[in-house]
Amino acid sequence: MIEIEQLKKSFSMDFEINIPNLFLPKGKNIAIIGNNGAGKTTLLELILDLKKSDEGRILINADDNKKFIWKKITSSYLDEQFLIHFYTPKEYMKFCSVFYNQDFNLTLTRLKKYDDFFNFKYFNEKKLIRDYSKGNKQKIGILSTLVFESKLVILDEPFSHLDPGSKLLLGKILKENKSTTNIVSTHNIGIISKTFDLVFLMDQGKIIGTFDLENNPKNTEQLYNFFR
Amino acid sequence: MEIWKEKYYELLNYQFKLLTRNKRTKEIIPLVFISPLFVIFLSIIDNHEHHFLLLLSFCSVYYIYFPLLFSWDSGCVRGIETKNIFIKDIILSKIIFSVVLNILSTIIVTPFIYFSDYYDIKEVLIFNLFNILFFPFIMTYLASFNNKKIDINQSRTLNLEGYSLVYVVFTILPLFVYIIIMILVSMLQIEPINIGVLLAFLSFLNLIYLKKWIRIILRNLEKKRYERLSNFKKDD
Repeated sequence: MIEIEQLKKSFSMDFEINIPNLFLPKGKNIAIIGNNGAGKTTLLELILDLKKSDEGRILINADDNKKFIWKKITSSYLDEQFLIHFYTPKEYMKFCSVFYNQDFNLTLTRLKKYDDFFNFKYFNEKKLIRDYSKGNKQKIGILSTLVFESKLVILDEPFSHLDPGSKLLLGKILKENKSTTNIVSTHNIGIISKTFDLVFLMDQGKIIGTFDLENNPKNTEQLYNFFR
Repeated sequence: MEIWKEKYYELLNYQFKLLTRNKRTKEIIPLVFISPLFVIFLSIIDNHEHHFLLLLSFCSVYYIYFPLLFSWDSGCVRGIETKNIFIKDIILSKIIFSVVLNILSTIIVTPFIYFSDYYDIKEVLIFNLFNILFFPFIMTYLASFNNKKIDINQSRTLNLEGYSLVYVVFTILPLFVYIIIMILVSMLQIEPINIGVLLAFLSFLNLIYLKKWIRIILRNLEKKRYERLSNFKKDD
Protein backbone atom coordinates (compact mmCIF):
# COMPACT_ATOMS: atom_id res chain seq x y z
CA MET A 1 0.00 0.00 0.00
CA ILE A 2 2.62 2.56 1.09
CA GLU A 3 6.30 2.29 0.27
CA ILE A 4 8.81 4.73 1.66
CA GLU A 5 12.23 4.91 0.04
CA GLN A 6 15.25 6.80 1.36
CA LEU A 7 13.07 9.40 3.07
CA LYS A 8 14.91 12.28 4.72
CA LYS A 9 13.65 15.50 6.19
CA SER A 10 15.84 17.71 8.35
CA PHE A 11 14.53 20.27 10.79
CA SER A 12 17.55 21.21 12.82
CA MET A 13 21.07 20.05 13.47
CA ASP A 14 19.92 17.42 15.93
CA PHE A 15 16.63 16.22 14.46
CA GLU A 16 15.76 14.66 11.15
CA ILE A 17 13.35 12.10 9.77
CA ASN A 18 15.45 9.34 8.28
CA ILE A 19 13.64 6.27 6.99
CA PRO A 20 15.69 4.29 4.47
CA ASN A 21 12.99 1.77 3.71
CA LEU A 22 9.49 1.14 5.01
CA PHE A 23 6.56 -0.83 3.69
CA LEU A 24 3.07 -0.40 5.12
CA PRO A 25 0.97 -3.32 3.84
CA LYS A 26 -2.59 -3.17 2.55
CA GLY A 27 -5.58 -4.06 4.71
CA LYS A 28 -3.77 -3.93 8.05
CA ASN A 29 -4.28 -1.89 11.17
CA ILE A 30 -0.95 -0.17 11.54
CA ALA A 31 0.17 1.85 14.55
CA ILE A 32 3.11 4.21 14.69
CA ILE A 33 4.13 4.74 18.27
CA GLY A 34 6.83 6.70 19.99
CA ASN A 35 7.53 9.37 22.55
CA ASN A 36 6.74 13.05 22.01
CA GLY A 37 8.88 14.50 19.25
CA ALA A 38 9.71 11.11 17.77
CA GLY A 39 8.50 12.29 14.34
CA LYS A 40 5.19 10.40 14.08
CA THR A 41 3.06 13.37 12.98
CA THR A 42 5.77 14.57 10.60
CA LEU A 43 5.86 11.14 8.97
CA LEU A 44 2.09 11.26 8.44
CA GLU A 45 2.39 14.81 7.06
CA LEU A 46 5.06 13.63 4.65
CA ILE A 47 2.80 10.77 3.50
CA LEU A 48 -0.03 13.27 2.90
CA ASP A 49 2.39 15.65 1.16
CA LEU A 50 1.74 18.41 3.66
CA LYS A 51 5.50 18.70 4.13
CA LYS A 52 8.24 18.50 1.57
CA SER A 53 10.89 15.84 2.03
CA ASP A 54 14.54 16.69 1.43
CA GLU A 55 15.24 13.33 -0.15
CA GLY A 56 13.47 10.13 -1.10
CA ARG A 57 9.97 9.35 -2.17
CA ILE A 58 6.70 7.93 -0.94
CA LEU A 59 4.58 5.65 -3.09
CA ILE A 60 0.92 5.08 -2.33
CA ASN A 61 -0.50 2.21 -4.35
CA ALA A 62 2.65 2.41 -6.50
CA ASP A 63 2.01 6.08 -7.39
CA ASP A 64 4.20 8.90 -6.18
CA ASN A 65 2.30 10.82 -3.50
CA LYS A 66 3.11 14.07 -5.33
CA LYS A 67 0.75 13.03 -8.11
CA PHE A 68 -2.19 13.23 -5.67
CA ILE A 69 -3.84 10.08 -7.02
CA TRP A 70 -4.02 8.95 -3.38
CA LYS A 71 -6.60 11.68 -2.65
CA LYS A 72 -9.35 9.54 -4.22
CA ILE A 73 -8.77 6.63 -1.83
CA THR A 74 -7.56 8.40 1.30
CA SER A 75 -9.34 9.95 4.26
CA SER A 76 -7.30 11.57 6.95
CA TYR A 77 -7.57 13.51 10.16
CA LEU A 78 -4.44 14.87 11.81
CA ASP A 79 -5.68 17.96 13.63
CA GLU A 80 -8.50 20.50 13.88
CA GLN A 81 -7.36 22.22 10.68
CA PHE A 82 -8.74 19.21 8.84
CA LEU A 83 -12.26 20.37 9.74
CA ILE A 84 -14.22 23.28 8.32
CA HIS A 85 -14.92 25.02 11.60
CA PHE A 86 -17.67 27.32 10.27
CA TYR A 87 -19.78 24.35 9.15
CA THR A 88 -22.21 22.34 11.21
CA PRO A 89 -21.27 18.63 11.50
CA LYS A 90 -24.04 17.77 9.02
CA GLU A 91 -22.88 20.36 6.47
CA TYR A 92 -19.33 19.13 6.84
CA MET A 93 -20.34 15.52 6.20
CA LYS A 94 -22.32 16.66 3.14
CA PHE A 95 -19.27 18.57 1.87
CA CYS A 96 -17.09 15.46 2.29
CA SER A 97 -19.76 13.20 0.72
CA VAL A 98 -19.75 15.27 -2.47
CA PHE A 99 -15.99 15.04 -2.87
CA TYR A 100 -15.81 11.34 -2.04
CA ASN A 101 -18.66 10.69 -4.51
CA GLN A 102 -20.90 9.16 -1.89
CA ASP A 103 -24.64 9.73 -1.67
CA PHE A 104 -25.36 11.89 1.37
CA ASN A 105 -28.21 9.64 2.51
CA LEU A 106 -25.79 6.73 2.56
CA THR A 107 -23.39 8.86 4.63
CA LEU A 108 -26.18 9.58 7.12
CA THR A 109 -27.10 5.89 7.32
CA ARG A 110 -23.48 5.01 8.01
CA LEU A 111 -23.20 7.78 10.61
CA LYS A 112 -26.13 6.23 12.49
CA LYS A 113 -24.00 3.10 12.84
CA TYR A 114 -21.55 5.15 14.93
CA ASP A 115 -24.24 6.57 17.21
CA ASP A 116 -22.50 5.18 20.31
CA PHE A 117 -19.28 6.93 19.36
CA PHE A 118 -20.78 10.31 18.40
CA ASN A 119 -24.44 10.91 19.14
CA PHE A 120 -26.35 11.14 15.87
CA LYS A 121 -28.59 13.89 17.29
CA TYR A 122 -25.66 16.32 16.88
CA PHE A 123 -26.09 16.01 13.12
CA ASN A 124 -29.47 17.70 13.39
CA GLU A 125 -28.14 20.63 15.41
CA LYS A 126 -27.30 24.06 14.02
CA LYS A 127 -24.20 24.38 16.21
CA LEU A 128 -21.00 25.08 14.27
CA ILE A 129 -18.03 22.73 14.58
CA ARG A 130 -15.88 25.46 16.19
CA ASP A 131 -18.33 25.60 19.12
CA TYR A 132 -17.93 21.91 19.98
CA SER A 133 -15.52 20.63 22.62
CA LYS A 134 -12.08 19.39 21.56
CA GLY A 135 -13.16 15.79 22.06
CA ASN A 136 -16.27 16.16 19.94
CA LYS A 137 -14.33 17.96 17.19
CA GLN A 138 -11.97 15.02 17.19
CA LYS A 139 -14.90 12.61 16.91
CA ILE A 140 -16.33 14.53 13.92
CA GLY A 141 -12.91 14.44 12.25
CA ILE A 142 -12.49 10.71 12.90
CA LEU A 143 -16.01 9.94 11.66
CA SER A 144 -15.36 11.90 8.47
CA THR A 145 -12.57 9.44 7.71
CA LEU A 146 -14.58 6.32 8.54
CA VAL A 147 -17.95 6.85 6.85
CA PHE A 148 -16.58 7.04 3.31
CA GLU A 149 -14.97 3.60 3.50
CA SER A 150 -11.80 4.89 1.89
CA LYS A 151 -9.10 2.33 1.19
CA LEU A 152 -6.61 4.26 3.29
CA VAL A 153 -7.36 5.98 6.60
CA ILE A 154 -4.70 8.09 8.30
CA LEU A 155 -5.24 9.32 11.86
CA ASP A 156 -2.92 11.23 14.16
CA GLU A 157 -3.36 10.50 17.85
CA PRO A 158 -7.09 9.83 17.53
CA PHE A 159 -7.36 8.63 21.14
CA SER A 160 -5.84 11.73 22.73
CA HIS A 161 -8.92 13.86 23.56
CA LEU A 162 -11.44 11.07 23.91
CA ASP A 163 -13.14 9.83 27.06
CA PRO A 164 -12.19 6.27 28.17
CA GLY A 165 -15.37 4.72 26.74
CA SER A 166 -14.89 6.36 23.35
CA LYS A 167 -11.24 5.27 23.27
CA LEU A 168 -12.23 1.62 23.65
CA LEU A 169 -15.03 2.03 21.13
CA LEU A 170 -12.72 3.62 18.57
CA GLY A 171 -10.24 0.80 19.07
CA LYS A 172 -13.06 -1.67 18.36
CA ILE A 173 -14.24 0.28 15.29
CA LEU A 174 -10.73 0.33 13.83
CA LYS A 175 -10.25 -3.36 14.58
CA GLU A 176 -13.49 -4.26 12.78
CA ASN A 177 -12.69 -1.98 9.85
CA LYS A 178 -11.08 -4.75 7.80
CA SER A 179 -11.69 -3.30 4.35
CA THR A 180 -9.30 -0.40 4.88
CA THR A 181 -5.68 0.17 5.71
CA ASN A 182 -5.62 2.19 8.91
CA ILE A 183 -2.46 4.07 9.77
CA VAL A 184 -2.65 5.55 13.23
CA SER A 185 -0.08 7.35 15.30
CA THR A 186 -0.67 7.02 18.99
CA HIS A 187 0.76 7.15 22.49
CA ASN A 188 -1.91 4.91 23.87
CA ILE A 189 -0.04 1.69 24.42
CA GLY A 190 -2.92 0.05 26.27
CA ILE A 191 -5.12 -0.02 23.17
CA ILE A 192 -2.41 -1.08 20.75
CA SER A 193 -2.35 -4.81 21.52
CA LYS A 194 -6.13 -5.13 21.16
CA THR A 195 -6.44 -3.07 17.98
CA PHE A 196 -3.42 -3.18 15.73
CA ASP A 197 -1.85 -5.87 13.56
CA LEU A 198 1.46 -4.18 12.99
CA VAL A 199 3.30 -1.65 15.12
CA PHE A 200 6.22 0.55 14.16
CA LEU A 201 8.20 2.11 16.94
CA MET A 202 9.71 5.51 16.20
CA ASP A 203 12.39 7.46 17.98
CA GLN A 204 14.43 10.52 16.91
CA GLY A 205 12.90 10.38 13.41
CA LYS A 206 13.84 6.77 12.81
CA ILE A 207 11.94 3.48 12.84
CA ILE A 208 13.67 1.54 15.60
CA GLY A 209 11.41 -1.47 15.85
CA THR A 210 8.69 -3.42 14.06
CA PHE A 211 6.24 -5.65 15.93
CA ASP A 212 3.93 -8.04 14.15
CA LEU A 213 1.15 -8.46 16.71
CA GLU A 214 -1.22 -10.23 14.33
CA ASN A 215 0.94 -13.32 13.82
CA ASN A 216 2.91 -13.14 17.02
CA PRO A 217 0.93 -11.70 19.95
CA LYS A 218 3.92 -12.37 22.23
CA ASN A 219 5.53 -9.32 20.64
CA THR A 220 3.25 -7.18 22.80
CA GLU A 221 5.41 -7.94 25.81
CA GLN A 222 8.53 -6.92 23.91
CA LEU A 223 6.81 -3.69 22.90
CA TYR A 224 5.91 -2.88 26.48
CA ASN A 225 9.52 -3.48 27.50
CA PHE A 226 10.62 -0.58 25.32
CA PHE A 227 8.63 1.83 27.45
CA ARG A 228 9.57 0.39 30.83
CA MET B 1 -27.41 16.69 -10.25
CA GLU B 2 -24.28 15.91 -12.20
CA ILE B 3 -21.19 15.37 -10.07
CA TRP B 4 -19.28 18.44 -11.31
CA LYS B 5 -22.30 20.66 -10.74
CA GLU B 6 -22.65 19.30 -7.23
CA LYS B 7 -18.94 19.92 -6.59
CA TYR B 8 -19.06 23.51 -7.80
CA TYR B 9 -22.27 24.14 -5.90
CA GLU B 10 -20.58 22.84 -2.75
CA LEU B 11 -17.42 24.93 -3.33
CA LEU B 12 -19.44 28.10 -3.96
CA ASN B 13 -21.51 27.32 -0.91
CA TYR B 14 -18.24 27.00 1.02
CA GLN B 15 -17.13 30.47 -0.18
CA PHE B 16 -20.51 31.92 0.80
CA LYS B 17 -20.42 30.41 4.27
CA LEU B 18 -16.83 31.47 4.72
CA LEU B 19 -17.85 35.06 3.99
CA THR B 20 -21.00 35.11 6.08
CA ARG B 21 -20.15 32.98 9.10
CA ASN B 22 -16.86 34.43 10.27
CA LYS B 23 -16.35 37.65 12.15
CA ARG B 24 -13.64 39.13 10.01
CA THR B 25 -15.16 38.29 6.63
CA LYS B 26 -18.66 39.23 7.77
CA GLU B 27 -17.49 42.77 8.51
CA ILE B 28 -16.40 43.15 4.88
CA ILE B 29 -19.89 42.76 3.42
CA PRO B 30 -21.24 46.23 4.34
CA LEU B 31 -17.96 47.83 3.22
CA VAL B 32 -18.31 46.29 -0.23
CA PHE B 33 -21.53 48.18 -0.74
CA ILE B 34 -20.88 51.30 1.30
CA SER B 35 -17.58 52.34 -0.25
CA PRO B 36 -18.85 52.67 -3.84
CA LEU B 37 -21.70 54.80 -2.57
CA PHE B 38 -19.27 56.92 -0.63
CA VAL B 39 -17.10 57.58 -3.70
CA ILE B 40 -20.18 58.48 -5.73
CA PHE B 41 -21.27 60.84 -2.97
CA LEU B 42 -17.84 62.49 -2.99
CA SER B 43 -18.05 62.91 -6.72
CA ILE B 44 -21.49 64.50 -6.51
CA ILE B 45 -20.54 67.10 -3.94
CA ASP B 46 -17.42 67.81 -5.95
CA ASN B 47 -19.58 68.29 -9.05
CA HIS B 48 -17.08 66.63 -11.37
CA GLU B 49 -17.20 63.60 -13.52
CA HIS B 50 -14.41 61.40 -12.27
CA HIS B 51 -14.52 58.33 -14.40
CA PHE B 52 -11.50 56.88 -12.74
CA LEU B 53 -13.19 57.32 -9.37
CA LEU B 54 -16.21 55.52 -10.69
CA LEU B 55 -14.10 52.60 -11.78
CA LEU B 56 -12.23 52.68 -8.51
CA SER B 57 -15.41 52.78 -6.48
CA PHE B 58 -16.52 49.41 -7.72
CA CYS B 59 -13.16 47.96 -6.98
CA SER B 60 -13.29 48.64 -3.26
CA VAL B 61 -14.15 44.97 -2.79
CA TYR B 62 -10.79 44.07 -4.27
CA TYR B 63 -8.81 45.92 -1.67
CA ILE B 64 -10.55 44.22 1.19
CA TYR B 65 -11.54 40.79 0.01
CA PHE B 66 -9.02 39.79 -2.66
CA PRO B 67 -5.59 40.25 -1.05
CA LEU B 68 -6.56 37.57 1.46
CA LEU B 69 -8.43 35.34 -0.96
CA PHE B 70 -6.35 32.27 -0.14
CA SER B 71 -5.57 33.29 3.42
CA TRP B 72 -9.28 33.10 4.30
CA ASP B 73 -8.88 29.33 4.04
CA SER B 74 -5.92 29.18 6.40
CA GLY B 75 -7.98 27.65 9.24
CA CYS B 76 -8.99 24.59 7.25
CA VAL B 77 -6.47 24.44 4.42
CA ARG B 78 -4.87 21.18 5.60
CA GLY B 79 -8.23 19.42 5.37
CA ILE B 80 -8.98 20.86 1.95
CA GLU B 81 -5.54 19.96 0.59
CA THR B 82 -5.90 16.33 1.67
CA LYS B 83 -9.50 15.77 0.55
CA ASN B 84 -10.39 14.65 -2.93
CA ILE B 85 -10.59 18.24 -4.20
CA PHE B 86 -8.61 19.60 -7.11
CA ILE B 87 -6.95 22.95 -6.41
CA LYS B 88 -7.93 24.23 -9.85
CA ASP B 89 -11.59 23.74 -8.87
CA ILE B 90 -10.99 25.81 -5.75
CA ILE B 91 -9.38 28.58 -7.83
CA LEU B 92 -12.26 28.59 -10.29
CA SER B 93 -14.84 28.62 -7.52
CA LYS B 94 -13.09 31.60 -5.93
CA ILE B 95 -13.10 33.47 -9.25
CA ILE B 96 -16.77 32.66 -9.89
CA PHE B 97 -17.71 33.72 -6.37
CA SER B 98 -15.83 37.02 -6.77
CA VAL B 99 -17.56 37.67 -10.07
CA VAL B 100 -20.94 37.02 -8.45
CA LEU B 101 -20.02 39.32 -5.57
CA ASN B 102 -19.14 42.10 -8.00
CA ILE B 103 -22.30 41.60 -10.01
CA LEU B 104 -24.30 41.92 -6.79
CA SER B 105 -22.42 45.06 -5.81
CA THR B 106 -23.10 46.52 -9.27
CA ILE B 107 -26.80 45.69 -9.15
CA ILE B 108 -27.17 47.39 -5.79
CA VAL B 109 -25.21 50.53 -6.66
CA THR B 110 -26.32 51.11 -10.26
CA PRO B 111 -29.77 52.61 -9.39
CA PHE B 112 -28.04 55.23 -7.24
CA ILE B 113 -25.90 56.25 -10.19
CA TYR B 114 -28.87 56.26 -12.52
CA PHE B 115 -30.69 58.76 -10.35
CA SER B 116 -27.63 60.84 -9.53
CA ASP B 117 -27.44 62.35 -13.07
CA TYR B 118 -23.68 62.70 -12.81
CA TYR B 119 -22.72 59.66 -14.79
CA ASP B 120 -23.75 58.14 -18.06
CA ILE B 121 -25.32 54.80 -17.15
CA LYS B 122 -23.88 53.14 -20.28
CA GLU B 123 -20.37 54.10 -19.18
CA VAL B 124 -21.03 52.84 -15.71
CA LEU B 125 -22.15 49.46 -16.96
CA ILE B 126 -19.22 49.11 -19.33
CA PHE B 127 -16.72 50.03 -16.62
CA ASN B 128 -18.39 47.51 -14.35
CA LEU B 129 -18.07 44.84 -16.97
CA PHE B 130 -14.33 45.39 -16.81
CA ASN B 131 -14.41 45.18 -13.04
CA ILE B 132 -16.47 42.01 -13.11
CA LEU B 133 -14.71 40.12 -15.88
CA PHE B 134 -11.13 41.31 -15.72
CA PHE B 135 -10.13 42.19 -12.20
CA PRO B 136 -11.07 38.93 -10.42
CA PHE B 137 -8.50 37.06 -12.52
CA ILE B 138 -5.57 39.35 -11.96
CA MET B 139 -6.49 39.77 -8.30
CA THR B 140 -6.74 36.02 -7.74
CA TYR B 141 -3.31 35.69 -9.31
CA LEU B 142 -1.87 38.35 -6.99
CA ALA B 143 -3.61 36.81 -3.99
CA SER B 144 -1.81 33.54 -4.67
CA PHE B 145 1.40 35.32 -3.56
CA ASN B 146 -0.03 36.08 -0.13
CA ASN B 147 0.84 33.24 2.22
CA LYS B 148 0.04 34.96 5.49
CA LYS B 149 -2.12 33.13 7.96
CA ILE B 150 -5.21 34.82 9.40
CA ASP B 151 -7.74 34.00 12.04
CA ILE B 152 -11.04 34.74 10.35
CA ASN B 153 -12.90 34.61 13.59
CA GLN B 154 -11.17 37.71 14.95
CA SER B 155 -12.67 41.16 14.47
CA ARG B 156 -11.51 43.20 11.48
CA THR B 157 -11.19 46.45 13.40
CA LEU B 158 -7.52 47.48 13.54
CA ASN B 159 -6.63 43.94 12.59
CA LEU B 160 -3.75 43.89 10.13
CA GLU B 161 -3.15 40.16 10.35
CA GLY B 162 -2.57 38.74 6.88
CA TYR B 163 -1.53 41.97 5.19
CA SER B 164 1.80 41.97 3.43
CA LEU B 165 3.73 43.54 0.59
CA VAL B 166 1.25 41.95 -1.78
CA TYR B 167 -1.41 44.15 -0.23
CA VAL B 168 0.51 47.26 -1.31
CA VAL B 169 0.74 45.92 -4.86
CA PHE B 170 -2.99 45.30 -4.75
CA THR B 171 -3.63 48.92 -3.94
CA ILE B 172 -1.26 50.30 -6.53
CA LEU B 173 -2.00 48.04 -9.48
CA PRO B 174 -5.61 49.04 -10.21
CA LEU B 175 -4.62 52.69 -9.80
CA PHE B 176 -2.51 52.37 -12.95
CA VAL B 177 -5.64 51.51 -14.89
CA TYR B 178 -7.38 54.62 -13.57
CA ILE B 179 -4.36 56.81 -14.25
CA ILE B 180 -4.25 55.57 -17.86
CA ILE B 181 -7.97 56.30 -18.20
CA MET B 182 -7.48 59.78 -16.73
CA ILE B 183 -4.68 60.49 -19.20
CA LEU B 184 -6.73 59.22 -22.11
CA VAL B 185 -9.77 61.28 -21.13
CA SER B 186 -8.15 64.54 -20.09
CA MET B 187 -5.07 64.75 -22.29
CA LEU B 188 -6.05 62.86 -25.43
CA GLN B 189 -9.70 63.97 -25.20
CA ILE B 190 -10.98 60.45 -25.83
CA GLU B 191 -14.61 59.87 -24.96
CA PRO B 192 -14.91 57.76 -21.77
CA ILE B 193 -17.45 55.55 -23.53
CA ASN B 194 -14.83 54.52 -26.09
CA ILE B 195 -12.38 53.61 -23.35
CA GLY B 196 -15.13 51.65 -21.69
CA VAL B 197 -15.75 49.69 -24.89
CA LEU B 198 -12.04 48.91 -25.13
CA LEU B 199 -12.01 47.68 -21.53
CA ALA B 200 -15.10 45.57 -22.17
CA PHE B 201 -13.35 44.02 -25.18
CA LEU B 202 -10.33 43.26 -22.98
CA SER B 203 -12.62 41.63 -20.45
CA PHE B 204 -14.14 39.28 -22.99
CA LEU B 205 -10.69 38.48 -24.32
CA ASN B 206 -9.77 37.60 -20.78
CA LEU B 207 -12.66 35.15 -20.54
CA ILE B 208 -11.38 33.29 -23.60
CA TYR B 209 -8.11 32.69 -21.77
CA LEU B 210 -9.83 31.47 -18.59
CA LYS B 211 -8.10 28.08 -18.60
CA LYS B 212 -4.71 29.70 -19.09
CA TRP B 213 -5.34 32.04 -16.15
CA ILE B 214 -6.26 29.12 -13.91
CA ARG B 215 -3.15 27.22 -15.00
CA ILE B 216 -0.94 30.22 -14.17
CA ILE B 217 -2.55 30.66 -10.73
CA LEU B 218 -2.36 26.92 -10.05
CA ARG B 219 1.33 26.82 -10.96
CA ASN B 220 1.99 29.70 -8.60
CA LEU B 221 0.07 28.07 -5.76
CA GLU B 222 1.83 24.75 -6.29
CA LYS B 223 5.22 26.44 -6.27
CA LYS B 224 4.45 27.89 -2.85
CA ARG B 225 2.43 24.93 -1.56
CA TYR B 226 4.71 23.87 1.29
CA GLU B 227 5.47 27.43 2.35
CA ARG B 228 1.75 28.21 2.42
CA LEU B 229 0.88 25.05 4.34
CA SER B 230 3.62 25.71 6.84
CA ASN B 231 2.54 29.35 7.35
CA PHE B 232 -1.11 28.43 7.68
CA LYS B 233 -0.46 25.70 10.23
CA LYS B 234 -2.09 26.49 13.52
CA ASP B 235 0.27 27.05 16.41
CA ASP B 236 -0.96 24.81 19.17
